[in-house]
Amino acid sequence: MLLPLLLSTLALGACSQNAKQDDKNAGTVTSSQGGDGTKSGTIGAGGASGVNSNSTRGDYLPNQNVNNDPNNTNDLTLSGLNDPSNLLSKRVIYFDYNKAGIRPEYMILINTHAKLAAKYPQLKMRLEGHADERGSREYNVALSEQRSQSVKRLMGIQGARSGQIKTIGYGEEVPIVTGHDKDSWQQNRRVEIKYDNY
Amino acid sequence: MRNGNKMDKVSNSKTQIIEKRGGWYIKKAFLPLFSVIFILLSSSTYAELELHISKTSDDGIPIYIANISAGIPGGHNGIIEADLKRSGRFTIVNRSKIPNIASYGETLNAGAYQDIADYIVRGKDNGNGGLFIELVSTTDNAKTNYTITANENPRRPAHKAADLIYEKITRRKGAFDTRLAYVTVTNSTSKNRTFRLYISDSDGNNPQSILSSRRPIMSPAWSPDGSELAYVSFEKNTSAIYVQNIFTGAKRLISAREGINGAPAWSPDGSRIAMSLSINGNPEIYTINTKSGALKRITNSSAIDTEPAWNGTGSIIFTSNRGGSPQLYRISANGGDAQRITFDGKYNSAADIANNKIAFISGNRGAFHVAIKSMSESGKNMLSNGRLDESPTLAPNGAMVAYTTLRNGQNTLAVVSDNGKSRQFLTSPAGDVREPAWSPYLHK
Amino acid sequence: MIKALFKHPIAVLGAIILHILIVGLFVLSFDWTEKPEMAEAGIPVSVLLPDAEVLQQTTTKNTVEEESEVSKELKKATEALEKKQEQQRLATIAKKEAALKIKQATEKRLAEQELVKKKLAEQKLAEQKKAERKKIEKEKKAEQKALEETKKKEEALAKENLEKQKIEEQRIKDLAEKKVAKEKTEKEAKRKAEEKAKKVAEAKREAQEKKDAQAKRDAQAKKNAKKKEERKKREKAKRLAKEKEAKEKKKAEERAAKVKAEKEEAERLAKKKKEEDEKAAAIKAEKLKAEKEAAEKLAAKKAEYHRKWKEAQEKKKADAIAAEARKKAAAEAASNKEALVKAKRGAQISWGSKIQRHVKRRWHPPPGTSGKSAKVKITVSASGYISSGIKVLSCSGSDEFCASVKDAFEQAEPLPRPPSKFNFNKSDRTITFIMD
Repeated sequence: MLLPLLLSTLALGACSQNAKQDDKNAGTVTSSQGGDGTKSGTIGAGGASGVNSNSTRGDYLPNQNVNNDPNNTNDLTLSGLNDPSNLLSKRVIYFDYNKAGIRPEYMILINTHAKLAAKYPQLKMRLEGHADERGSREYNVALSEQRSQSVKRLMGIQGARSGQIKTIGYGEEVPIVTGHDKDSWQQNRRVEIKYDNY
Repeated sequence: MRNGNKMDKVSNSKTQIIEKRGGWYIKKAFLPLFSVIFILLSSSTYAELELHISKTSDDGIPIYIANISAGIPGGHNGIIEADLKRSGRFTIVNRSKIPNIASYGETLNAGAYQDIADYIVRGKDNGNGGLFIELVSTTDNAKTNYTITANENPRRPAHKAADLIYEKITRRKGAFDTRLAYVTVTNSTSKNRTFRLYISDSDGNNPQSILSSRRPIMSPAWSPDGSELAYVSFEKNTSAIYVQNIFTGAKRLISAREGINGAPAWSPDGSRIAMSLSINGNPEIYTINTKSGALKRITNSSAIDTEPAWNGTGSIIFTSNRGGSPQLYRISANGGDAQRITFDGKYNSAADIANNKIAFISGNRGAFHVAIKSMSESGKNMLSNGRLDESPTLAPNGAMVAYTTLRNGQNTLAVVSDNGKSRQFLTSPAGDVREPAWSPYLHK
Repeated sequence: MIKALFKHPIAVLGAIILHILIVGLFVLSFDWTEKPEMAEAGIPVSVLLPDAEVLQQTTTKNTVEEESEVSKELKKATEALEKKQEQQRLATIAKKEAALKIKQATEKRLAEQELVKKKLAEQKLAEQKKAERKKIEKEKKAEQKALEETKKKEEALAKENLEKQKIEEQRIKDLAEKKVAKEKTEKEAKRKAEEKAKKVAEAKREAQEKKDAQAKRDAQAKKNAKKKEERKKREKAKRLAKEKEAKEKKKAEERAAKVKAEKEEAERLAKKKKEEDEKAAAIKAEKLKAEKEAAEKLAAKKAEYHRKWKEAQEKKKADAIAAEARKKAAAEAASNKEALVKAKRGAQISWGSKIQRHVKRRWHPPPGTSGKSAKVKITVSASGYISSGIKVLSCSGSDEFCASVKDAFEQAEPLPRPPSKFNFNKSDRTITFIMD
């Protein structure tokens, strides 16, 4: 339901704007012509992420709108996995407390990775699920595995094969930050997408 | 007896009047007076004593531990005092209350100290690391003597002495000569993070690392004879359950199936290990035969079922969110229907069972505390009040619970008595401590 | 109806008195203690100390100051800062103190209430003691009075005896003179004898009269004493009255015996005199002899009488002391008995609280049983063991809970022994516990 709304705002703003690196407007699309004739699109997001390459993983913070050009499949290259301007370099999905459901704002990201996997059937990935420190540890292992399985299921719809994706839950054992507050907890409730050689 | 005199005066004057007029009036006037006098007189006899004992907190049994040789820091008496105190059933009487007590071997008139302590403990080193211990009751001067042999761990004779004293007085088995297993992690958010599996004395002393890994170690679980630990290790980049002999270091793989291999728990007779496996899609409870390796599925739901704990050899308590949020359920060790056993609060998990008691984590308004309930009662008592308490484990006599709690930003080991009257923090090697497991009674 | 009432005035009287009695009991049951006022209960009104301290400090600082303006100003500034900090610190301290004080105040109030209760009890005790003391003093006074009276009587008797002695000596003198003048004339002798006889008779009469008067006086005094004693008897307790009566009886008996003895003596003397007169009238020589013998007899009898009188006195003294001692002992025994009963009850209660603590420290009810309760009854033997068995009269909890109750008592043996000083019977050593 959100998708058509987003698309319409996109249509309004698409032709008139040129997104810069630190553009703070929501919903802008930029495209540039690369030297080899391929187009690589970056999807600008409101705020400092997406285009900003100061941090690598884990900077794809929640509650930020993502816009999509569903027809744009030319971005899906393996080199894109390490290209900070490519969505494929974003590897982290965040979750709500005690939940394994995928938030809508991460659909595009997940689908992008899924399409890459579909495009490259030899490509293998690991979906590593995590939980925040609250509650008991083994239960959190199960919860975090549920989260990676949610992501895997969604990827399957987009054509990724089950054999390409390994899911694993680490529970609260491998946190990204050690704070004991809501922000730290949110940062730890995540699934990380990992490729062996990328 | 002012009232009595009053009555006498009145009755005297009345009799005078009556005698003047005639005998018939005596009957009429005397009867009500008589009954009142009788009631007054009978109320002056003393009734039997009736006393009131409430459950509210009180001091423990006062016990005085005299100085026993100081071959170790704090002396053997220091170890015994800390043990008895940790059980929440004793109050250690300050040694200055009996300044020049007769030393072990000399006569002691214990009855003279009845108001200071209920029991007096004296003893001495036997010359080669063992102990002579004498326990005296001040109520009837009864003496009990114990001889404890030396041990390669010089602190164990004192723990054994504490067990003997505890058993004599409370008529319950002591659990001070036992061990703890726990996991620590250092540099938890960096690439240098290291997980270690430790074993220590039940008071946290004498820690020894038996496993070290860059990847998570979880859920240590003691075998019923105390010689092996089962645990979860991610050393192969995925969770797997191993069993390791703590004396020889010999290690064997129990389960490395697809998905989660977690939460191992030995049955009390050592014949099976229960565990949580998600090989069939979602985490379910299974048992594996330790001799044959045969696997048996116990639970069957679409929810998370994990953290099994044995209630005897016939039933298993586990955590499940089949009702929407994590709660404790009971199921037969042969499978079948599961019955929910926690109904209070939105989050109840991590059960550990000993001596007909369950210790578990109960979450309320975003905080997680240690709770304890009896298998045969419906109510529970809260035992801790930290914000994020975890991993309760019961001593084999059910009298003490070890758990981890946040202190100065890090998780540390704590022990609370089952009646909540005593709480101690234990020292442990550097790092964030998690998942303590209390050993069974030791044989070695 | 009113006429019917007047027909039976005694019944009406009896009914009215009964009603007054009941009202009186009701009134006596009021607790006339005063409640302490709030201000005295120790609730803090305001904490002034910090300000005073701050003022003090600032003034001392000011007096030390005597330097250049710049440094003065600097110092003033630091002073002000320090003052502020001090005030803040003291304010927090004051807050803490206030909180502490409130805590202490509530504790104080509780303690004071208890103190008030204690004081009342003590006052009652003191008053009772005072009343008893007054009683004893009154009794003492009465005894003293009686003693004094008996003393007076004895003194009167002594006087009388002395007078008697004098009379006797005078008579001897007369006899002697008569001897010398006997040879003069028989008439003279006779006359003298007659005169003497008269004199003797008169003396005898006087003595008799005196004795009668004395006897009368004795009787009178006895009556008065009796009256007095009867009056006092009404005021004293029954036991003291009895003893006094017994003592008075004894004294009266002694006095009666003495009066008897004296009467007999007088009669004997009179008899003797008669014989002597007869002898004198019949034979002079025999009279002389008789008189000699009589004189000697008299002297001997006087000595014996004196001895007897002394013995009687000493016996009376001893009896008085013994009676007093007995009275004291009886009074002490009575008050000791009361004190003993009280002390026994106090010892029972203190022993009971020892047992209560002993058992409570060994009771470990299972978790989640906060609302359950049980009732247990035990009888403790002299050696501290439960001789009756642990009787669980009621238990509102599960089997595990009830087992924990029984277990507490099993663990508690041997219990603190009942104090051996008092003779505790089985009922004294039986305690019912409400465990909740």
